[in-house]
Amino acid sequence: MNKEYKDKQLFETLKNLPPEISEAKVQSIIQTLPLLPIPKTHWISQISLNSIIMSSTVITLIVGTTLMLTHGNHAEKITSNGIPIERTIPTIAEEETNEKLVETAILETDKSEEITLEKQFAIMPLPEQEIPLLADNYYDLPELLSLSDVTQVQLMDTFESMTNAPSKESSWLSIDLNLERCKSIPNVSDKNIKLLKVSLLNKLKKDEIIASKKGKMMLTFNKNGILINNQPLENQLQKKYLDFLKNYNIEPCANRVVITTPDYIAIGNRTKEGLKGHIQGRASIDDIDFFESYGTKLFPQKEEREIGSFHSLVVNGSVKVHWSKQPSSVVKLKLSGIPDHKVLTELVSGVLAISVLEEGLYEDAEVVVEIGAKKLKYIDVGEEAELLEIK
Amino acid sequence: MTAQKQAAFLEAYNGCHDAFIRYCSALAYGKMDTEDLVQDVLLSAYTHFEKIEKKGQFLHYLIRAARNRSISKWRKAKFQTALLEKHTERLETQGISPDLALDIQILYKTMDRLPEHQKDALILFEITGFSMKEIADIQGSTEGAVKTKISRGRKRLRQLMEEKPTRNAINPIFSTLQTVTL
Repeated sequence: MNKEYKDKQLFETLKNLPPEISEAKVQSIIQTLPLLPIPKTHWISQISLNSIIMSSTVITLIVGTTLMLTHGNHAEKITSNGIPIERTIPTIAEEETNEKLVETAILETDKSEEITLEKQFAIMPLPEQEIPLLADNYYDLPELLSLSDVTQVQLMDTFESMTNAPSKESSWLSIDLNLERCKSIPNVSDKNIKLLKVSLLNKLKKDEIIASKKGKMMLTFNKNGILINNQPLENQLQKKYLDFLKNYNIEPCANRVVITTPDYIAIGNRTKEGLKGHIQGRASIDDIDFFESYGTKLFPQKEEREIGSFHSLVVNGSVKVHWSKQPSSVVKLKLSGIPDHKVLTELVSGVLAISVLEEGLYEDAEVVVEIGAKKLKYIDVGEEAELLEIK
Repeated sequence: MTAQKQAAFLEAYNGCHDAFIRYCSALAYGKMDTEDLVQDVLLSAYTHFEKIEKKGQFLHYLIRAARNRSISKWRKAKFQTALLEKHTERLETQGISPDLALDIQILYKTMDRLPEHQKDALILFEITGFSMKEIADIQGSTEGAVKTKISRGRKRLRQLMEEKPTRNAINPIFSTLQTVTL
């Protein structure tokens, strides 16, 4: 007998069987319900091994996270203009000679010195403009500084005198950004991209530039500096955010954009083909309008979408997504069983989402994803989005 | 007061009987006495009856209560031979041939290997006779998601039923490997 037919027949048989317990019997059960004692459970009986394990895990996670965050805050306390030292070091190391001098100075500072420094600040609070270890324009440091020769407070003073750091009020230098120089996509690691999102939103919220961290935020550049949601940043904040972005290898460019929503962060360049860059998280179809309203084309128009020619995917350790309408020789998608015009594909940070636009049950549908010569998987597709992770 | 509550409870129960018992029978098959499950769920529902806001959806409440009970108490329980025999005998007394009763037993055993949400959707749709929308309401899901679950459940069920017994043991390993590869 055909298996499918057999299943249906069995289900049909079960569906047509009379109920195992008659209604009269259930009614008699209901009659006796008021007489039955209400089940009371002692609180001790609620404790099980499962609840103990779950509670311990949650507590461990919370304590661990708190400790980690506390540690992160500690690091930020001794930074200049919100740039953590640990993030500053690699950036400075890439700069020219005078920046190396600063790096040397910082690297020679061991942890005990940092703690001592913090304690000294705690005892003798200094005026706000004297607190930074590194002045705003530390890139222009002219001479070598040896930490072994000076105390922490002296060090701070020396930095100030060397750099002639102006006070915060007068520290603004007019920014004339060369917006044409950068064509490459910012290289941000998977780990840093998460950190960037959290840190950037925290700073923007703290500076009251955005009302909420949960809203959509778009950071762009023009010749005068950084724009947040198309509004220019205040002059006093431009340098701070430029430095912050530089720590994540994000240089100012005319076509560069950083977009965050609660679901994802996108960093890249706007090109004729669309947005090229990194996206981490999940971008939903609803966001298409958001991108297009800002003149970008992250996704092609739905009606223009051709199955088989979709965004190319490069997998090299971290996943990079390059948005393009050009067919990719790297990744191929084959769909069968569903009319092409009813399907929408999205590829976000290595996750291929296939959405069937029209409701219906496509039991015989099949999706094959090929990366190079390797055929990865076939899946059946219901009427809603199916996710396939490519790693 | 008790009489009033009982009358209201009975009124709410009217119309729920067939689907509720059918669902409980499917859940309890081979693992628990259906009557015990029904009584437990009814006692729980009766105790909390005043707190049930949507009395019109009493059936959905009963179904959810039965499912929760099955999950908390004996989802992982193995089939008990005595209960299997009892349920098979009951089927035979209802006019089901021994061969068909055995097929039903195999069907239930195979369904038990499905993921919980697919199994539940299949029972509600195929055996209890709920519509997709009703199942979505019960499961707090969308109609589309229910369709997907049922579609996948059917397909998987067919695959499992076609499997040779020797492959059953290593199949989970294949599935895991497939997932890991992706």
